[in-house]
Amino acid sequence: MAAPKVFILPVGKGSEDTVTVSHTILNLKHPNSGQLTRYLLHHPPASEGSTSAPFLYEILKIANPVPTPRSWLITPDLPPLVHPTDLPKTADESKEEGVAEDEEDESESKAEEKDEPESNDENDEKDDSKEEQDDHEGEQEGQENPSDGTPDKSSLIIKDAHLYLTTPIDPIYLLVPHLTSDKTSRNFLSLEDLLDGHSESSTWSKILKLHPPAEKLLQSRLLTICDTVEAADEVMYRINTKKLTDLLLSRVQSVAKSLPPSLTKHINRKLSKPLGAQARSWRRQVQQDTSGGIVDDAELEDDSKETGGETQEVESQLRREASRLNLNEESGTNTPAEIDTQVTAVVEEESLLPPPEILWISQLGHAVQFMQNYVPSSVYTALVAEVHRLYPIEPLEAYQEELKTLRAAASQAMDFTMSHTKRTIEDLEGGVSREEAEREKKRKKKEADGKKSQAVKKLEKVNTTGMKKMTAFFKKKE
Amino acid sequence: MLEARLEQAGVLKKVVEAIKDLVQDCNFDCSDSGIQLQAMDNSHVALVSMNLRSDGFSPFRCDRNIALGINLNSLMKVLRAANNEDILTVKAEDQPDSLNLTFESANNDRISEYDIKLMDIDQEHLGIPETDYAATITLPSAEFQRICRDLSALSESVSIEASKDGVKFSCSGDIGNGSVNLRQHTNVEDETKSTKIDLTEPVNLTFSLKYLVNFCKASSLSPTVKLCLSNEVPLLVEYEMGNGYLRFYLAPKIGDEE
Repeated sequence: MAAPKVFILPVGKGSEDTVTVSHTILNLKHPNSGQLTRYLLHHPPASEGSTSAPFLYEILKIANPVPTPRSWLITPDLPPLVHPTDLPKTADESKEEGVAEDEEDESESKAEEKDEPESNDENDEKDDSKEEQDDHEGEQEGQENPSDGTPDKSSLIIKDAHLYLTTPIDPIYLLVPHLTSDKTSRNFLSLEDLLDGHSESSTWSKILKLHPPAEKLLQSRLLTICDTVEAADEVMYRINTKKLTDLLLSRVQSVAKSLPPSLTKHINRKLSKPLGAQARSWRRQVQQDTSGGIVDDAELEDDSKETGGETQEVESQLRREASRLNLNEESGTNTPAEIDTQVTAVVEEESLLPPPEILWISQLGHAVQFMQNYVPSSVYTALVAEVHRLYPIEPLEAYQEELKTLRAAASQAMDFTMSHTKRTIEDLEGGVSREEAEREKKRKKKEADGKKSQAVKKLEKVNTTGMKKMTAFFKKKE
Repeated sequence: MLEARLEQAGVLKKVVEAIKDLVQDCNFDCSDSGIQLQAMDNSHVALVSMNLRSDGFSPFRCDRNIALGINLNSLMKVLRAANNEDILTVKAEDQPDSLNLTFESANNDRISEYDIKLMDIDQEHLGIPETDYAATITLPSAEFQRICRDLSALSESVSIEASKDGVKFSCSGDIGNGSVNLRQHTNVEDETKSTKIDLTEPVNLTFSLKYLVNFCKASSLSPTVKLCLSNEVPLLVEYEMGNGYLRFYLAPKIGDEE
């Protein structure tokens, strides 16, 4: 038996008792990759379904990060368990919980009443935590009910804390590959013919059957990207690539304006001038000096957990070298890219931030990348070209070039201060620092240089471009 | 065991003076045929090759091959203590860690003795094949030195163009350009003041003047210098020493019109 899965599902508007929301999972070709992908069709009864409500949902899997073992604990409709450190947040959740619905025996969706005993993680999708309860066959674990102390037989623990999130998707994306295909893009077609010609016409007719308002919605969506003609009461559609690009462009822009903070922070850091790093390394050194010049790794780890923020920032320099692994564990569900962000979680100083227009170009660049997942590659290339036409990328490239030189200069300055820090660690580990070996080499070279006569040094500086080495003419003797 | 007595300390003095600005450390390879030296400058675009044949010494004794690794600056410091006319004797053990030099003044009974610490130098030798050059120019070494010095005031590089009309050294730099033309001519009174051009085909090559000026420091070794040129091979600048030679090789500049 497959393990139950935890879904976050769209909810109907009806009152809690009367709701008979229906969800169906369909297989449709992914607009970009062409692979069959599962989509969720939300088809509430006609009485409450509004014609403009989204009906197709994309299913996203929030995977359990491998290094952190976590599980779901599912219990019947109880007051949620509260993690002591999480009090205010859980209160919010319980409010949302009110919207959650009970429903029985829904064929595909296995949604459960949620509870997270170890929810100490900020990165979970808390905002969307509306969950529904259902389906606890087998795998039952005795669970102390916190309110009355009696074991609850209907609780359930699921080994992997995967979370399936359904988010609305514009059905246009699913139609675009078909609309832009050679066969369809030339002629005006009615919606019916359009869907008939679609390679997945059976799925689409199923959608329309299950959820009649979808037709109206599809038509209205098509209006935004198609030229139309009316013939005998029927509206005929033909794709207009200009309109399509405009629509996508406006979306890219609105995405770029509202990128999540985790991402903007990352972008800002990548584009910031490196002065901050330098300042940090100095501070690091100062702190180390006061602690007697020796810093234990484990100590650092503890420090950062307790004080967070400032300390973490200060320590990031050292930790980057010494405790990447530890950090990995600590940061929980983060993807590697995000770990990086955390390592140098820096309070960006205003003066170091890139100019707004540069930032905007970069944000657009990131936003456009999201689109790549939703449109065929030909449309995507056109979109990227359009974005670049409107917002030329050259200033960003020039800025990055400038940044590179600034960074190089800063890291050189940092190397000097870092050498002290590094050596301390290396001394602890009993190894010979690479830095030291390098310095030794430099010293020797200097010594050798000192023996060189003025004339030899001068001759070394002579421009020898275009001159081959002697070994190119004369072979080595044995 | 090496023991070599040189009638005139000045020879070695001039040799070292000429190459110490090109190479800093090098091996003097001693064998029963004499003392050889081969070294490249730090940029490896020039090579110096010296041969002092054993018959230039009296007596010369070298039981087994020894490489004497010497810092030329240190050697020069010691050699400066010698007069050109002094009799120089160099001595070394079979596995030496120092080289002994004795200077005997012929006029008075002054004998000075120095030891120089030796060093291990990892040096590879290049095999230099006998080459038939397209052009061989023999001219007074002072003349060549003057040409190089004059032109180096204008430019970094000189083009040497040898044709049946003669040989033309020309250069062009920021302030202008200049050239020196030499024709073949024979000085009956003094053979060493003649200019001789042997040509099998015309050549035109460009060389770094800084290096040539450096080579010219050997001018005092010989009244004449021999320039040998062929396309695509290094220029050979040779100073004949009676019982040996000092040769400089310099890679031509290719594809760099300055």
